Amino acid sequence: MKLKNLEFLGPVFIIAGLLVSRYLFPNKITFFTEISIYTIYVMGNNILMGYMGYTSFGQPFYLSCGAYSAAIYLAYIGGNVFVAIFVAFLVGLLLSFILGPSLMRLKGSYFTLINASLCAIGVFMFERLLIDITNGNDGLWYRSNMHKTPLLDIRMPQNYFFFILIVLLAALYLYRKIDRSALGTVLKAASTNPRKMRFLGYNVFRIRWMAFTISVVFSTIAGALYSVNFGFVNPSLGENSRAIEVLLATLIGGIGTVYGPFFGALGFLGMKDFVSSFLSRWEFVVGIMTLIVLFKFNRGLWGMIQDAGSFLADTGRKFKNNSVKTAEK
Amino acid sequence: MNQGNKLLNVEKLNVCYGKLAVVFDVSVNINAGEVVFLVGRNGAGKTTLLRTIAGFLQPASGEIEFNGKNLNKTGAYKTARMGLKYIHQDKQVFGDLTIRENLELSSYATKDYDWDPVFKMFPKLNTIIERKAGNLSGGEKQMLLIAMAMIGKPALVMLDEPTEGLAPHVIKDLAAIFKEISRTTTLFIVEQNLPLIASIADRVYCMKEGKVVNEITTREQISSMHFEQYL
Repeated sequence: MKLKNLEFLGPVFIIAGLLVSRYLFPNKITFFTEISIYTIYVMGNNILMGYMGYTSFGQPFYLSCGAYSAAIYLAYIGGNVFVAIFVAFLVGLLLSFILGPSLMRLKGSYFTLINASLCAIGVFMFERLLIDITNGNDGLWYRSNMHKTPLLDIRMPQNYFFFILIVLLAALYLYRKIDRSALGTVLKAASTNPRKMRFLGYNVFRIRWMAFTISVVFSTIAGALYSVNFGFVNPSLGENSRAIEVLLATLIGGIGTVYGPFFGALGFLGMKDFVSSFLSRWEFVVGIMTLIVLFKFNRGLWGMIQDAGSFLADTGRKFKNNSVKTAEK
Repeated sequence: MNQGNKLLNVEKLNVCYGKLAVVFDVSVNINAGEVVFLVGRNGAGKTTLLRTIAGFLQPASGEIEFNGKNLNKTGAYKTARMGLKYIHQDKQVFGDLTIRENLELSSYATKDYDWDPVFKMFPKLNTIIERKAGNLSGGEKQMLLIAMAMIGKPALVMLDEPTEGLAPHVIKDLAAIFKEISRTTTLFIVEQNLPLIASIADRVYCMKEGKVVNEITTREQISSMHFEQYL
């Protein structure tokens, strides 16, 4: 079987890698859970940035809306974690329904900056306007309200890790399906030549809105998964300064690819975790390393892995051909 | 195709870019089954007229009717869905996608997945179907654009200077292809290539300074390139 034919097993390899890592480094289980959730968050941004060519500084806003919707449900309404995640999914749909029509008519820096202002609005909303519900900067705690879930009690970190892996596996296969389907081709084409798409009969605005919806829903679900993981949420999750992190992770992984978000999350959080263990200003080193990756390997980590794979395949083929020739002689 | 039926009717069309008027009281009729050319010097308003009919520009006044439906406020994508396709002169394809993916895009939009007629017309496209469209020559890109437009069996295809920048042998091939297409689809072409026009045109509209100044309808006048004075 050729390596290319094994590509459909990519999500399984990623999950297997995380599983093995969890047993190799048992005290890093929270870190691996965070990578898995962050991958879903980066996937959302990658739809906008990699497929549609939109740079959004508003992703933390969508993330915090998902996190707060799940948190508010868990703190005041019910204790079912799955319902909390579903609430975040609905909030994602609602946000894209309200914001999408106006945001997706914007171009370039207008889109970027208006999204950035959404972060400021979000922080103000969760910190001040809704202080009676969110407890402002003190944050909202609700872990004790979370009910035990059947089969797997996901309130326990070790069980939550397995639950997140299942969610990530589903998300990766869904993402792969989108990329390989008509929708994936349409999204990419609409970003490169919208005029030509109209000539073919496509409603480009609707395509953009659809991409925005997928992006927001991925972000709000990631937010809900975060809030369940920590049992706590505070307004800093949606701060403007965090917008750059998800953009960097997307670039580091390789934009517009299926597996780039995972390697972006792994690369970014890995660098952050490693550097911050011996340097308080980890941003400096992470910034320099990001520049190196982007200038030297502008297709990101996934691009590097693909190039390495092609190189190994070519070398193997040449070696095989040479062996056959030598045997013939 | 109901030969002879009025397919496109443009009446007293005026188009402006802001306050600058570019097309003045233009009236054009195209019947089903015809191959109609539009000629004129650079800046005569030919491309503006086509872009307005295709829905990329809004007319200041006048009427555009296609198959009996008013197109004045119909957006470009809706016009395309109604069976009126427009091929720009820029020959831009989706360069990062393969020929197959480019054709698929057209199929998704029109729900027409029958590529046989297109491959019959352009067999070469089938042989290089996995090639990235960005690596094609100018002639191949034009073939791909026509192929994409033909998927979904449109009633009318408008082409803006399809032979511009192409080698003579490619132009010859295109002339044969236009003849083939015209058996099933009406063509409205902006063109500067005199021999091509003379060989396949049924009628020729001549534009000058934003107005249609002449309509050439007889075969003798077309063959003798009577429209040359407007180029």
